[in-house]
Amino acid sequence: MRRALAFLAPLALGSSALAAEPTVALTNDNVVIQALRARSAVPCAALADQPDLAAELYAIAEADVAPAWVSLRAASCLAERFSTDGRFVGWVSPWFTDDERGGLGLAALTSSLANPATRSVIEPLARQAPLRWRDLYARRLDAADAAP
Amino acid sequence: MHPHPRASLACLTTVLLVAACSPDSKQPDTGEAPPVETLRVEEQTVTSNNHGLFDVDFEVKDGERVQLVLEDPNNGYVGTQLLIDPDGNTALDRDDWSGSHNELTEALTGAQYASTLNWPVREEDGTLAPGVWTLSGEILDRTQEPNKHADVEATILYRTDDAPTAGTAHVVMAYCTGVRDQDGVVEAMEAGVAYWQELYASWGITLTVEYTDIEVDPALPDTYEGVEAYGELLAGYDDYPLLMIVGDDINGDSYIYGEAAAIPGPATATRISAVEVSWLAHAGANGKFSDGEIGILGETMAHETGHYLGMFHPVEDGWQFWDAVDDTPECNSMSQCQDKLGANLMFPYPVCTSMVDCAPQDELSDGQTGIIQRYVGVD
Repeated sequence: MRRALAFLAPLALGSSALAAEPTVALTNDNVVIQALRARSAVPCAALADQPDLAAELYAIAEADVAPAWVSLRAASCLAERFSTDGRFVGWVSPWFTDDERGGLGLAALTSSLANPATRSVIEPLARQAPLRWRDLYARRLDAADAAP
Repeated sequence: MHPHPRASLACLTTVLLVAACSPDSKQPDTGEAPPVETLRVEEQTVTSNNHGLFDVDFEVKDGERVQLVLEDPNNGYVGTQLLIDPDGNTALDRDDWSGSHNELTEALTGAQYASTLNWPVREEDGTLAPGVWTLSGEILDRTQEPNKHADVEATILYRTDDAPTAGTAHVVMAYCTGVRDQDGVVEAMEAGVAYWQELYASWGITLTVEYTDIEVDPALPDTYEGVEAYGELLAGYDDYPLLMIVGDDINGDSYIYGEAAAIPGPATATRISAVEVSWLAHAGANGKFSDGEIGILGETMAHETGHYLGMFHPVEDGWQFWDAVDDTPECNSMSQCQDKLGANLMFPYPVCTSMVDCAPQDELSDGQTGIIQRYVGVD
């Protein structure tokens, strides 16, 4: 497990995930977690509108929630829906520098490929990722560029 | 019998391909002659009429079950409308199932590239009477309009099985380009396979698994689209194995854990003859497998293969559609369905009892077990 954040995850208010942060409590019956657990993926656009869904998705991505794809879906939906949020870059940057969070980076990167503005933010981060993930990211970017 | 404009056979070619007999090595030595399992295969090319309809006639011998794989060489849509027994009675009618809230087979909804009917599906569907049966089907072009005077390639597999409640399935697990090089992936896959084998053994199916590599981009397309290389790989085998592809992710989503091409999928070699599994979706944010993640990986392999062998979810997420199996409990709300079916392998999602723990999904009903044992690719 990557961190002991099973039930409390940081909710960043500024552009840095390292800023003093309040926390958002996640429980096993959280409606967004339930939606993300479904084997047939719920479209990000169909997620319930929470008071601060972006922060909730970030918290879920950062938490250890089973099954493993829940956090990946949260990261993907965060990139798909909230890339213009002022907190976005601060939230996702560590995903591309911390080897233990590289899967979140791949989810965000993949989600960004459909949106050039989001990609322009994420691709430079991906190009500088730790070696273990950099090849995966590069393959994903190359495949997107090669697609008709 | 429902009225149906039967297609005329403008063209019919038949080729008998294989007649393989082998003793069933699983049977104890009783001093009696060992039971014999036989798989024979026949290929036909038929042509649709002015309405895009066609018939495939095929002769069943005593004790056989069948699988018909219909392919459109032009990659349109093809599916089954009717199945008629030798006495002219309707064994299966698409009209009986369209609009139904119960799901029996995707052969009735049709598919691009290949459509598969495995018959019988359930015990109540009965055994196949010897004689000439007819499958009536429909072929549509890529705009979903009837495809007139179009060829359909039909492959019919006939299985005789003296041990219908036990069987063996050969699995080929193929790693896409570069996947073997990822730390811990091969070890996790093999541990997942061991759990998958354990689950299937409890339902009477022995899985023999071999590993290979395939030159396919690990960013997998969805299985409905498939990859030509899947069929090319399978064409090198003569025993109709199940193909499981291991890639980074599926259809550009980092979170689709696995996908089966169809319910059921074809036992023959086609571009959609595969179950795909994403290692990343199981390994999660850190790309490393915990014991719990390996457990879910094994259940994913078993669940997706379950679809490929013919099982639907006992209830679909939304609680308004159910499988056609009588002995899976009825339910119509999330809490009720999780209580009654949450431990079922084919439940639509893992039921997690806490933020970090999900309950095992290792149960099948007798009716569900019978479906996978009747799949013609399982001997």
